[in-house]
Amino acid sequence: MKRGWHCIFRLLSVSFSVSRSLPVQIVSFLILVSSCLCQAEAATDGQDSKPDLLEMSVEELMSVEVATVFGASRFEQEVTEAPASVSIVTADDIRKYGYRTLADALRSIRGIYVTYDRNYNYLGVRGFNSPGDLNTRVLLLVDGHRINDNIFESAPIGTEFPIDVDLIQRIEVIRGPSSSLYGTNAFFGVVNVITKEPGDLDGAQLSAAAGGFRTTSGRVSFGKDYRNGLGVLLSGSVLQSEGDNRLYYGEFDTGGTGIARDADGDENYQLFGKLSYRDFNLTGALASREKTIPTGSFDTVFDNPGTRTTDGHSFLDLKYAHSFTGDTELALRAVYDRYVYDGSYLYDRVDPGGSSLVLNKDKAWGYWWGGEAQLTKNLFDRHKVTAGVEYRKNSRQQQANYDAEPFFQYLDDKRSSDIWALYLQDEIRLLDSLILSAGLRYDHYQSFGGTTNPRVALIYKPQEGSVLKLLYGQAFRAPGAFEFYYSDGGQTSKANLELEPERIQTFEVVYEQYFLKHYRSSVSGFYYRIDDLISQRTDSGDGLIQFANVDAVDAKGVELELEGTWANGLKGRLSYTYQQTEDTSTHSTLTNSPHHLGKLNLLLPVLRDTLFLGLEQQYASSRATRAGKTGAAYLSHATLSGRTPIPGLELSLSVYNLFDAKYRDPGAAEHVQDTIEQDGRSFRAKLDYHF
Amino acid sequence: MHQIRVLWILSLRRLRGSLNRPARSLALFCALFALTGWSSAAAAAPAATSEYQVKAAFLYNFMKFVDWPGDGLNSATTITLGVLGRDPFEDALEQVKGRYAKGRRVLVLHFRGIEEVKGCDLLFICASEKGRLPQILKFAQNYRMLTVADQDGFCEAGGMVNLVSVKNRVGFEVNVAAASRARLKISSHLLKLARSVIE
Repeated sequence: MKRGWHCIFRLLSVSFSVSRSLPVQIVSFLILVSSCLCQAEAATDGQDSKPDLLEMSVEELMSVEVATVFGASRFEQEVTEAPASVSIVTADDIRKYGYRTLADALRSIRGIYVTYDRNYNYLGVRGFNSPGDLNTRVLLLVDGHRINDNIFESAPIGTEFPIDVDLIQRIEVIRGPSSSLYGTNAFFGVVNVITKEPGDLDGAQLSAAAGGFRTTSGRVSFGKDYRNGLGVLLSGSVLQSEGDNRLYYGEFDTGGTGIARDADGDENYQLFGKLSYRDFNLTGALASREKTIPTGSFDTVFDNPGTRTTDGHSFLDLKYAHSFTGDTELALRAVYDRYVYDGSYLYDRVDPGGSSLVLNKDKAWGYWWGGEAQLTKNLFDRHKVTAGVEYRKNSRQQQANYDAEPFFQYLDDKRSSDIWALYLQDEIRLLDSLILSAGLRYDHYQSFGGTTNPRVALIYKPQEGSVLKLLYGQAFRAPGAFEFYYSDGGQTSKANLELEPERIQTFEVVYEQYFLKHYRSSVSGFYYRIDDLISQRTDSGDGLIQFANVDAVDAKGVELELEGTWANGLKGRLSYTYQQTEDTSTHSTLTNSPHHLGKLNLLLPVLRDTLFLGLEQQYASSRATRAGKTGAAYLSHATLSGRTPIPGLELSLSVYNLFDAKYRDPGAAEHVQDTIEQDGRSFRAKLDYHF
Repeated sequence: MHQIRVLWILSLRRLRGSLNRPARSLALFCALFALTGWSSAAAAAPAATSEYQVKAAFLYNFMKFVDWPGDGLNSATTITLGVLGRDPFEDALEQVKGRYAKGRRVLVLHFRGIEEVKGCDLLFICASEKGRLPQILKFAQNYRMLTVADQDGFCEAGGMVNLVSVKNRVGFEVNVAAASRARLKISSHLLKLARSVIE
């Protein structure tokens, strides 16, 4: 006992000597205490070498999660055998690391970085993150349902994502080209967000959170599996944030203050529901988010909260899945989606009689419905064949732009189109240790015709615990309605009906090794080449801007990852990525493409099963901007979460950007700012009550 | 362990001032991760759970909650788990071997063909035997064996217990009629937890 206290005093003195900053001292102390506890646990547990599973009751066994991936080959499959490099974030991670949005969760993943311009979050994968680009080259799915809209082809990963993160069961990030299964947008990868089942909630839940930048949010959810086979899940969430209500931008400091006041507001609501009965599943979501833009982008008036964008995603998804005897599985899906975009942009139009504020409205409506049928069959004991057909009707693709007062319509373009596709994949077990996965998909677009995309993977398991994967794939990204048809009536931009899809070819090598019962390590290398990349180009003839297939990119990289898991709840993950991207015509590195990325995640059980400390450290090296470069970014987050003495009540306390690091993200063509400063340190307290 | 702890604290003191703040925090976390990893290496606990580790635990539980005819009179000291076909468990069954179920020590045997099978209390039929299922189940009827598998349609075809995994969790289905025909009694506790029960 005496030695114990002596130990604690020594730890305190070490913590205080590490840094003068109080948050660091507190965090270091907690880390050291829990590492002592872990050591003590290890000493006593060391004698017992029997795994916990055999001590569990049947009920407990039924709730143990096993690592399988759904999206990589469209069926449940162990991560090691999936024909892709996969990373998973679980509901447990979301809670213990204090992730507020899908973007927060994605930021922790090897090789991924997210940038923000105070309007949208931009996802960077394998070194590609063109500023202002709307996440068109990653396919975002919710339970296999396509979320990318049919106007901008964008993937909403911030507060505009239609599902509350508390309802996420797991996130699968499947790297590499997957157009051979999913078609367009599965260019750099697929993010499949799997939501909780009614049985996972098993009752009602209330959640409330308050945090920095005057942010408050609340959620009410109910989920239950009934005896007769019916499952119901209903949930509603709201969020309101003032954001940083005093943002200084030197570029606007001309005579005035250069401060945008009360212009960073963010609010959303998210409604979600699930109904399941036997082989049927009906899912519905309705969400909308409004963000005020403080940066004066698109030449709008600075320091006026009138400039804002609203994005609304909603969908209905009916799925039927049945397993027949003779190892056949059939899945049928019918969908109806609506995407609505409403932008208000305040301009200062100088009139002969003096300047006046003009409200410009930018709107879009994207509705689509469709269906999909997929059959999976085991043939001849060694083949697992998947065949599918998909049809999508874009019933409304409308873009409008007008000045409210005095009214003037610049654009009112209304389209409809359809897409149909066929795909086939065969997974062949050549030997006990060797699997060959080959797939092909043909998509036919009304706009540009047909495209065929293959993927081949060789998965070799030389011995238990080792996996070697060799992958080659091609993918495409169809031009969006926004690139085809948007124009402001010939003032500065014009449409381009001749656009072709972007194409990518990727080679990957992945080696994974599980060792010493606790560790998983992986080494991977990739090379890709993008052709016909769509960018904005000024036509030399009429001086108007239009989208055209003009660019090509070459990139390569190496990634290393080490992960450890222990029975007492201790978990850690460390990864490093080296990547190099190059525009093939200018031979310069792409903007917003860091050469190095580092991630560290540490989950420490402070009090076994009761209190956990989740720590994150993220690093990105300097990135080129349009006019210069940013510095390196070091970001640390800490979350303390756990049960309270009140049964059913859980509490979590988070600190984001623990060291108040100053870091900046590159601005896009629409920004006057070359780089945009990101948020400093902020806190969040969250209460979850389950009854 | 004590030696390593002291060295680490000393190196941290030297680090202060020579590295800037962000790099120092990164170094702190990395050092800590390595340290706790080292100290926890003694605890022989499983890594992220694999599907077959969980299924092996289910087989162990089935042996505990199923009554074989003549169990009370039987003075057998062992209970045998047979695996028929290409074994997907790897070393997950090693943990079950030597454990005790209902006071009897568990033995694990492997078989290539159904004709070889004898003296089994629980027979796990691997996915590799899918094509031969009707013959296997017909043969098994003559013996008091609990037939278990993880193949679609196993219970409908006459198998007694089928392990199913849905969305990353493992559950099971039971065919009580098939079990009764072999005079096996499945405890009501197990039946209550089954995803579906065929009478």
